[in-house]
Amino acid sequence: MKQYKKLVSPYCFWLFVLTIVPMLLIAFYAFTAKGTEITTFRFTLDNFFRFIDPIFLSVLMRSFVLGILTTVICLLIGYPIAYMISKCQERTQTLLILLITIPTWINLLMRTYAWMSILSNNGLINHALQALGFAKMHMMYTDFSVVIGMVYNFLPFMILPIHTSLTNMDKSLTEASMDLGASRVQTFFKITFRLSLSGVLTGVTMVFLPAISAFVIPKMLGGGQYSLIGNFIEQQFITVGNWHFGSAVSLVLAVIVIALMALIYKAEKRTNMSNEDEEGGSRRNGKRKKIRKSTLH
Amino acid sequence: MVKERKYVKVLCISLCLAFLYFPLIVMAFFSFNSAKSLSNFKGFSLRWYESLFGNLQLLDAVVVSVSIAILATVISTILGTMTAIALTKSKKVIRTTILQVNNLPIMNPEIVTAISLMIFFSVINIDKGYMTMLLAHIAFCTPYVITNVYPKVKQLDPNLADAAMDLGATPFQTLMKVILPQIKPGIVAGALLAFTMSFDDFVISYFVSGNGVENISIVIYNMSKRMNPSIYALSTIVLIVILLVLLIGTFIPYLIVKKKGASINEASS
Amino acid sequence: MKKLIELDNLTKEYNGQVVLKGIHLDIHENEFMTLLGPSGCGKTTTLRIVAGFEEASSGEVLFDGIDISTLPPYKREVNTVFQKYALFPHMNVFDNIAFGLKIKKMEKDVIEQKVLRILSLVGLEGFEKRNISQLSGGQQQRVAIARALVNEPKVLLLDEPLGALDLKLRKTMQIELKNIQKEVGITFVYVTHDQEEALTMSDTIVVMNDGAIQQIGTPTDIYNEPENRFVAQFIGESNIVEGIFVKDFLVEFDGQQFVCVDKGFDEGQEVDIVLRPEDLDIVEVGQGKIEGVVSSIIFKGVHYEIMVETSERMYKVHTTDMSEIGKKVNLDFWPEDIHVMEKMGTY
Repeated sequence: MKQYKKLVSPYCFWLFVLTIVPMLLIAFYAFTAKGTEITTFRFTLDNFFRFIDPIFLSVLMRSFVLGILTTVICLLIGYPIAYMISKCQERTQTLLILLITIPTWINLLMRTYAWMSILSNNGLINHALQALGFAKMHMMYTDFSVVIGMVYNFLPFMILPIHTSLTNMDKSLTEASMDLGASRVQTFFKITFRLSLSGVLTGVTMVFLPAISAFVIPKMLGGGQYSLIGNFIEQQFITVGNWHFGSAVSLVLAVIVIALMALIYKAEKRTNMSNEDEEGGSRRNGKRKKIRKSTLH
Repeated sequence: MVKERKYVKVLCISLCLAFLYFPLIVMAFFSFNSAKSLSNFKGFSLRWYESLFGNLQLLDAVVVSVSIAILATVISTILGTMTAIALTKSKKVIRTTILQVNNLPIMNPEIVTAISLMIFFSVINIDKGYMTMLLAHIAFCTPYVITNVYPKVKQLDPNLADAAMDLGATPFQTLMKVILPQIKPGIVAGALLAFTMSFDDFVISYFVSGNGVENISIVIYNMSKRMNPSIYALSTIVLIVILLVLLIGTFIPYLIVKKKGASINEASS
Repeated sequence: MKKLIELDNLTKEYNGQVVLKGIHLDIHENEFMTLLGPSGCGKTTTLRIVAGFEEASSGEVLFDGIDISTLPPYKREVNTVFQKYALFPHMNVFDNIAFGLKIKKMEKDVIEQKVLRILSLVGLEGFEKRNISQLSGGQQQRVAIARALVNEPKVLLLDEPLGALDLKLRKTMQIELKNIQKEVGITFVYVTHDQEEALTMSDTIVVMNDGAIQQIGTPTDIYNEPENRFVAQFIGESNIVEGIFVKDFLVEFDGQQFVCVDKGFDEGQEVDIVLRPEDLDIVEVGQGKIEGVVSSIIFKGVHYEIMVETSERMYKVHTTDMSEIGKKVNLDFWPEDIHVMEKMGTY
């Protein structure tokens, strides 16, 4: 099969040109400022010092608060749902998982657009409220509408990995726990939840990281002046035209996200490893080897 | 007690599904509204579908979205599969480096990838348009193909390729007759993912396209200031197409398997 | 017999680690040759170099006198039966076996004829439509053999093909493989670490260790006249004693001189002497050659394994006669039971 080794070179080239070089360009812009002449750039750290700007700090703050809020809500809804689905019959489970996945295949903007008209002042909800004799509520272009849009968009990505980790779990573990005298609730917290942590971690990653860098949802449901990091970057590039500061912000965002991802990946690996141990995977193998040895000699 | 728990379960799951499908149903329902209202149903009509087919901008965008998605899927699937197969044979240093760099577009926030490509295209002075959009789509689709295909290649028994060549197959014949059929599920999964990613993409397309080249997402984004039930009509069509593909995709293999199973039963009995 | 394959000074290195240290080997037409040795001895590597999956670091592979060292596997007239069969899981039995023939673009009805004939040879008539996953280990094994044989190779290479089968099935397959080889009349090169398998099936056994050939010979030669301590220890069980070659037909060990049938060593040379446990007899005191005390007895089914402690060492004896622990006895043996070997490093 070594004949296929050469096939790797086109993608090497591709990755270099369309991934590494563009990222290096961001770094280049982040550490430079326009010189006095148009063609000269000079090295500077000013772009990073501009972060102390209270406007930027509030944007950063809001992004994180919103990201955390979205993640927590998704987890609070997603875990119980994933758990309940995992308790259904197998065929029902396949169907339910499919039903949860389908909305994610539909264009994000179409779905968000639907929410705009549902939540707007003349939208479906206010229409219903009026018909029932209540006062209209102002929902569009608020934190509320942005969070609804985010939770709606990201919820499936929380449910799916948790469901996977729950169904992959060895059923005899919970039985063993109850056999050893643990109650249903104790068993859940000591065994089930503990073993589904890797799924929770994946879910949290898949919600939190895209949420803090979200761009379309806050723009559509939050209105023009509503700004998260993603929108801030867009403004720097499109409206303000300061590519250097925009690049610095992008670079920092990328570093934060990738570092978080690496950390979570590490944690996940650790929980996976201990899970395997508890499921007896490695130990069972060791035992099998021992048995084979003893029959040989 | 057990029964109560079951009701709670059914209720919760139903509520969750209702939340997920509410906007889709609203969208589909009001696309048939005769009035230009998204809250007040005045009567059934197909006027928004008519106006959709009269809307050249939207139709152009559909053509762009579909053609880019098909091209990006085909190219990234070939490129990614090729690379995944080659990677299992490469030196460890090359393999780990490529896999790690390959993860970059996946882990990177979309907006960062988008502006990095935008800066790149403007620095090397390519006019933003269809070509830049296609290149960008291949760039962010290929990593997903590789992450889907690579594990399948790794699981493959290396003796299978040896066996094929031992029996006289050239490396190319081995690839076509033995390796590709074995890793097909990974390739199909990767291609499907690439297609949906490309078809649904907004952020990257928004930053790297220009000169009037717009995909569906960009058009919807630009129209989102005004109310336009034609978008509802378009979304409904997309929804129906997805459901149809899904139905065909789920039931045809199921029927084939059933047929095969029946013939196997016949053979063994 | 005509020489078919010649390995000339093959060496192989992986990342600076030497796996083969200069292999010279002639493989003849119609021969059942076994490469025998412990895992990591280089036997599989040798086989893979012959098949063309790996290239030797130096040396040549000659096929009918022509150097094929750089020929890719698909251009060689040899076929391989893999350790875990390597059957293509996406094809049924027929398509697996027909694979090589289809590559050669043979006529459809010729292919069908050949496949059906080979299926009956391996005893799998009527299995052609089965999926690979529906077959038992033994059946998969037969398909793997059929898939290789149907191409009518000049040499069939088998890499521990029975390793995954259970003991009973392995025994039947050993005999069956030998029969198939006789019937098709081609050369088999068989790799195994199981000495019993090698002794049962082979015309020639090549004992390998540590990347080098230790001895080449018929099963009887290898068993009765091991050339060194490694071969003696690896094939069967043995008591290995250090001694001195006094002169032709006379050796000294354990402080006594014994008549033997070996000659040709230097006088006074230090040698290793092999005494097979089944060649030793336990007799009453005064009637044998070496004195000792019975220290343990284990029942092994067909025979007893009795350990006898002498003033110099412990001897292992296989006998069908019962003895009792603590009893003073004599060990007896014939001159032809003494096998003298060159002394080499200890294993």
